[in-house]
Amino acid sequence: MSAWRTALISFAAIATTSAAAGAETQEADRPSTLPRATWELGGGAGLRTLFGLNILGGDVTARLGLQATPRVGTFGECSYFRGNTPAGLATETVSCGVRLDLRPVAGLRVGGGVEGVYFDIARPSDSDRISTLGIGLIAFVRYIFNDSPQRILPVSPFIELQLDYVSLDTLHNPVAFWGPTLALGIRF
Amino acid sequence: MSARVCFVALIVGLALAPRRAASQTDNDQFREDTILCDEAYAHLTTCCPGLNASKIHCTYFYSSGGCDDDTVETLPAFTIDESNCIRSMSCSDLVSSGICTKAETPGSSPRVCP
Repeated sequence: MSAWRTALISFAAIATTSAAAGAETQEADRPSTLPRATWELGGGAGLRTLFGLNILGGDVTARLGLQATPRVGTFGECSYFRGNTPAGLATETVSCGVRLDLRPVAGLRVGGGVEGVYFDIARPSDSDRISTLGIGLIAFVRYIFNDSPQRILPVSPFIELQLDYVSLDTLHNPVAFWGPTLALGIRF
Repeated sequence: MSARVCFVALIVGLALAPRRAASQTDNDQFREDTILCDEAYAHLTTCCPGLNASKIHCTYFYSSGGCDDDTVETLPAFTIDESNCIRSMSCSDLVSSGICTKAETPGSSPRVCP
């Protein structure tokens, strides 16, 4: 519990510091060291709906990308989501994909991408799991603190809301699951 | 004349009719009825003391050798509606309504739930 509290306080401190600097809007369009390779780590809580079942769980994500210009970035990403249905059926989702990250104004990022997905769910009636593969679409909106090519701090915290829609490959199509994820993270 | 028309209609009908492959097996468990059955199963095992859960099977299987006599189809113990009904009930209601008992012997009554 104290670790979570420390992490949240640190996140808030970095966010406040970077926001208080206030120079990012002017600096964003200056020439910089772009294109720049960058990477991110994030995690949060998500909800997925499959056959009307709400699956609540946690997500961790790692991204590696290229900030080509101050306004456009591309990222490759892999995520792991683990959740449970209301009655406790455990699910796992592993997804890897690419996303386009656009910056309409300083700090704000919007974009979307595609992902390949592995999904499995526990079946208590036969003590087994069933799995399948799928293809997904993602859309996101995020706010990045310290979002400037000449960053004041070495890292940029972000908060993000992402929506996933995944079509699964089964003999009984169409089968899909979808849902939002709210995540916090750090861009390095 | 009418016999010839019927014969032609039969040939056309057979040609256009959707056909299954000569031999077909479907063991894909990723179906709405199987997963909702498992969700109901988990709810029952939580709520029903003494439930003999080994009698409840949520498996789907279909096999056809190409002739009706060779066709085997196994459906999950609960339909989608029954699973949703079980999931929506509280533990006390499942016990008091006798659904815990009926669930052990699916098929013994028209519906397990309600």
